[in-house]
Amino acid sequence: MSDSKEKAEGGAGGEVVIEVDDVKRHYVTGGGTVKALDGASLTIERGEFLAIAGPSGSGKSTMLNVIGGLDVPDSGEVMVEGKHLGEMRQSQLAALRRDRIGFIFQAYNLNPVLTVLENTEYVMMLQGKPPAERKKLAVDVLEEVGLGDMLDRRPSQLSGGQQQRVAVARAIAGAPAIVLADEPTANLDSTTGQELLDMMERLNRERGVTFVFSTHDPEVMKRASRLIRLRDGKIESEERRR
Amino acid sequence: MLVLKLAWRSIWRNRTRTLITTLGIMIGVMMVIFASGFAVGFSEKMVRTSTQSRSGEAQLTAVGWAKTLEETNVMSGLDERLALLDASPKVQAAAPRIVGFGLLSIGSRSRGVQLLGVYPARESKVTNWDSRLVAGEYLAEPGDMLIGAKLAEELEVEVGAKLILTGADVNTGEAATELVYVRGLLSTGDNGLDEGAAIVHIAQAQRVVGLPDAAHVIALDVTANTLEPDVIEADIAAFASDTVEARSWRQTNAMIAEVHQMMGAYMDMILFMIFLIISFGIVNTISMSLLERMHEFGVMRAIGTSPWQLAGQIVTEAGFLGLVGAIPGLLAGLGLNAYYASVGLNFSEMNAYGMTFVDPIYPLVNVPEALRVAAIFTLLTALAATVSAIRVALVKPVDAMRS
Repeated sequence: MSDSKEKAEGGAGGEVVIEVDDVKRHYVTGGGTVKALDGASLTIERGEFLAIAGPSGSGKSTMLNVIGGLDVPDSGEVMVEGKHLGEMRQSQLAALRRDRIGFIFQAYNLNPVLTVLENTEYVMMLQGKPPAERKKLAVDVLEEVGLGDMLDRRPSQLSGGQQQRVAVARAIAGAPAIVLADEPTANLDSTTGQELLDMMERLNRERGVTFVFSTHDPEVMKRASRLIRLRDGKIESEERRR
Repeated sequence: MLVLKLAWRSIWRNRTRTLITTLGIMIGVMMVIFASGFAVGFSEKMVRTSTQSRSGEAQLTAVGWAKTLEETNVMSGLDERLALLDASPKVQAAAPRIVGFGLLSIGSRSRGVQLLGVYPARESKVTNWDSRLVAGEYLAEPGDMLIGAKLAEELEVEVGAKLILTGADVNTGEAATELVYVRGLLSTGDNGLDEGAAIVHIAQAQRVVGLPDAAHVIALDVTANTLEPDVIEADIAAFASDTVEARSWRQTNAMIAEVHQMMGAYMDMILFMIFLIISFGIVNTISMSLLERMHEFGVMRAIGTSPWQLAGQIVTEAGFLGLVGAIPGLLAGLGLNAYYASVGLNFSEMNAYGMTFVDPIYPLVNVPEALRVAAIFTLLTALAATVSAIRVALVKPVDAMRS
């Protein structure tokens, strides 16, 4: 890994789970080239509750996408738990996401034809867990996020906050090491957003899951153990909170 | 199980589109099952018409006679051969025939005919002439003659008319004449027989052609199923010798046999042509549905679904789509066949392969074949979705999620 001066280091001496080294991701659009990431470097340690903030177009979501192997950088390197994503095939990346990374999206993105329980079971089904085991785990995690009495509801029968709780349950049910949350509170009112953050903090604390947020939300930034600010695809600043 | 639930529920997200697509599949399956049932019924009818109206299910002839129809090439030892056939459990009936040529005349009108000399009692167990009379009665008294109703019309004669049958002695070439009386008028469906044959007692035919106590053919009704010529051929092989050939209807009626044999291939061709037409609609529907759901597929990829799992999911959905159309199509096709199998389809004006279908054609209700058709349609529907599914599955997750 290069020693870029913009590199945001974990620095607490813990085990590094994510390394982003001098990553560039440029898009060619009708209006010219957009430098979504322009030589950004970053390391994240296990158990961090990290927020990546910045104005729209600063590259927050792209950063999450390249960390999750959803997008491929034009140059630079991304490592997750010691694995070079650039060297992995699509099916290997899918297996990495399935087993080690949970995703939470701004728009919840639950499957509308599956129930709350089935949405939560889905990743475990991909992992090949037996039906009885995955059902038990899904029920446990749904109870943990306060939806134990809504197992058979469809997403359309839930409020935004409840849907995002299901998304959190889906993200953590497969026991990932890392959860990537792309503006998870953006569509929620402040009370619901705070409740959701409480819950994710608890999961971070109790399960040791590393959370990486992209966010505009001051409440998320306030609670983050480390705050990284992006601007124009580069890391502008880093602030360690605890 | 979750994969199946997801696939099943996904196809009902746009009910109207699903119902239109499945309606197309249903109609296709129904059409193919009906056409297949009809084709088999038609083919079987053709075989039975040809065997019951003329050839019998098998024939014994002198070696070489079938190729040349040489009148002097008769079978020897007729009585011993008949005794053997009558005693065999493989043979239900044996009917010797003289086959020659003659001229039927009445007044100034005359027609050349194929002359068939038969034993009436034996013949009625091999052919169905006694039940194919449209006027008059079956052969009884010496001098009685059966002719086709069409020939009677040409000769302008009715039942009871007296005609002169002229033939030539095959040995001397001298003309021989017999008086014959029209005893009955036939409509067998065999155009050659109905338009150009005269059936008389064998003794009279033997006199006309100068071959006393001889026969060219012994037509057989065998114990084996008509539609199993392999079995028939195995059963009659024992009656063949250096001087006598034993042949099943498959060999005596080669054209009919070929049509019968090709019917399966014809039907598969029709199946694929119908599916090809329907597949345009299926592929279009599936492609539209996939495009609409691209973001959802991106999310599925993001949370760990592999490209092949996603493609499998989409193909499973298409399979369900096929199944939802194929099951009612299967029931409708079988229902249609069952209905027409009871009332029949009237094709009395239709001529094909030298036959007129005087009786209705009864489609066959063949459940295994119908299941095969339904299964093929279901699989083809899934197959039609495969290319689109693979294309979607290989889209980069982030690009799919931007859709």
